[in-house]
Amino acid sequence: MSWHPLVLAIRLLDLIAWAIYAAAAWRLLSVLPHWQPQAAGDRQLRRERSLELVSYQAGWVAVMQAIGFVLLLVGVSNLWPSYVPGAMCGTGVLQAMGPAGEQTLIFKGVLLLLLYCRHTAERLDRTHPNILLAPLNGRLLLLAAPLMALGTWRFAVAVAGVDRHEPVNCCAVLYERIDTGDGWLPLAGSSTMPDGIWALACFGGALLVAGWGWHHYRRPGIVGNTASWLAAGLLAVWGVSVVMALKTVVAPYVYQVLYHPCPWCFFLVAHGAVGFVLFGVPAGVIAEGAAVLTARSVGFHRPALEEAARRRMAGAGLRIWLGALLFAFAAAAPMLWWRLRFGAWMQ
Amino acid sequence: MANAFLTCCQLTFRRGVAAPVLDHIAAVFESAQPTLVCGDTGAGKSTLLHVLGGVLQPTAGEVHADGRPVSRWSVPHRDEWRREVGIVFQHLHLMPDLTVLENVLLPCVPRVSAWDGPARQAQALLERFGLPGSGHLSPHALSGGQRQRVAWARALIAQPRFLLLDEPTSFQDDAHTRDLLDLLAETAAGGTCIVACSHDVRLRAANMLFPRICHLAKGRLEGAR
Repeated sequence: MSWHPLVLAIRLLDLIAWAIYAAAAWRLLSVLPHWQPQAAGDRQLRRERSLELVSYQAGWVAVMQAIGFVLLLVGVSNLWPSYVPGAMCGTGVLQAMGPAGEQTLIFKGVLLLLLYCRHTAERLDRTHPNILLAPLNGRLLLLAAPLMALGTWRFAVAVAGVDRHEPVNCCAVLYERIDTGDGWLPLAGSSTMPDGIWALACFGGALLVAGWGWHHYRRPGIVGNTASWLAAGLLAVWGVSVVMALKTVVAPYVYQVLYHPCPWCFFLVAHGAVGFVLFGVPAGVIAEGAAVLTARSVGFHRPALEEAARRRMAGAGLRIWLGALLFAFAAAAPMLWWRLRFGAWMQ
Repeated sequence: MANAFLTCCQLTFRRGVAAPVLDHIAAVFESAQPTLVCGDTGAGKSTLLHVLGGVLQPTAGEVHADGRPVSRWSVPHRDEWRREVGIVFQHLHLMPDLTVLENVLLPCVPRVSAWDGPARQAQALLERFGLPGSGHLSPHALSGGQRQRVAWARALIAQPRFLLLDEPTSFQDDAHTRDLLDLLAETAAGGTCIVACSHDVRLRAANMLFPRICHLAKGRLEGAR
């Protein structure tokens, strides 16, 4: 599968991103240790011009990584299952890839979140004529290096791990059983929570998150650390509950089978590729939540940027409110439609 | 309009490893005292104006506009500040594909949504510069002197706080030069900070308009009187 066009495209995007990133990181490493905002000598002005270039480079790195991530999702969910015997969706592909497949998704996802936070901080910085957040933005970009490296490495391992002659049993993984050689045993860490709890956490959480977004839209304020950590915790718990509720509660209504807790079948064209909406919208909400927390932190530590931070928080709050409600509607719609058609819930 | 002023703080501009074109220049240009900068060809007069107007960035030092360090601002803020600047370039830089009227209206593009008012203002300026009825023509259809007056109209249409003039009368006959100097006196009286670079002896002779004449040589700005 190493020569599949999509794999080559992702590798090419990664390569370009690395080339741009390396140039940006090299500049940052030569600029940050000598950064003197009060000086106006030729060296400091050269450093400031270097940072202008670094900010464009960071933007292109983020774009390359985002496109690569979307291509990776498309490949795992819709294109590569045909290359893996026994795979019917992304679950089979990830099974063939081994742990490296999921790790690739996690590292690249976290990398995008980090780059989005950096982008948010930089946009806030650009609302002020002087460059106030140069050291912070530089450090955030340097922090991306290990995540980028891990993403690239785990993707290489994942692709190399796919054996086109070794069939997988993706449904066994789905039904949370694993073949130990002595029979099928429950997968360690399988959820024992009742589905109703996940549904409550997902939809109740969506309303809570929407309320949190509305609050920031109407009254954007620079709150304390405790409130920020609570909000981050709420977003994290909600993110987990969304995945679990989609798998166990919403999936039957979309797939129209009683029990098929597969997150990747949502992405199949046969199911309208609704996964890109059902997972993409919460991901966007969580990214905007991270932007709110970034703006709060910037506004708290840099009074000159407080007003801009409040505006950013209000904008993010509106998008969070809309996103959470859109998600709740999109996830509940197939369930409600089923209830209206047949007069009963799927149990 | 409050009186505008530009300050150069140890302003240096260097191309590559060559000797600096501008070398640690410290000067204040005030609206109350329009300044004429003289100097030999290649002394760096145009470079000085371009750095003052934000077209070029200094390689060291700062330009302050009304006390704000605009030369070190990030690009979007510097671009926004440049809307306060009107420049008559030595080589005019009129857009050949636009009409004369459209050229004059160019500085209004980022500012206005309705064009009737600015268009009337541009026509009035063209009349003031002796170019009535030429708005629909291509700049190519005009003589060098007429084109230069179009460049003047373009620099003045947005009522800039800072007016930078690079050889602004080089293509003008005596009568038009007098008209331009009259207009310049009116603009200066309105609080606009004016800096002009020129070899033109007619400008040097205009003591009333340019009470301060500086000499730029070897990167240094000297001889202010």
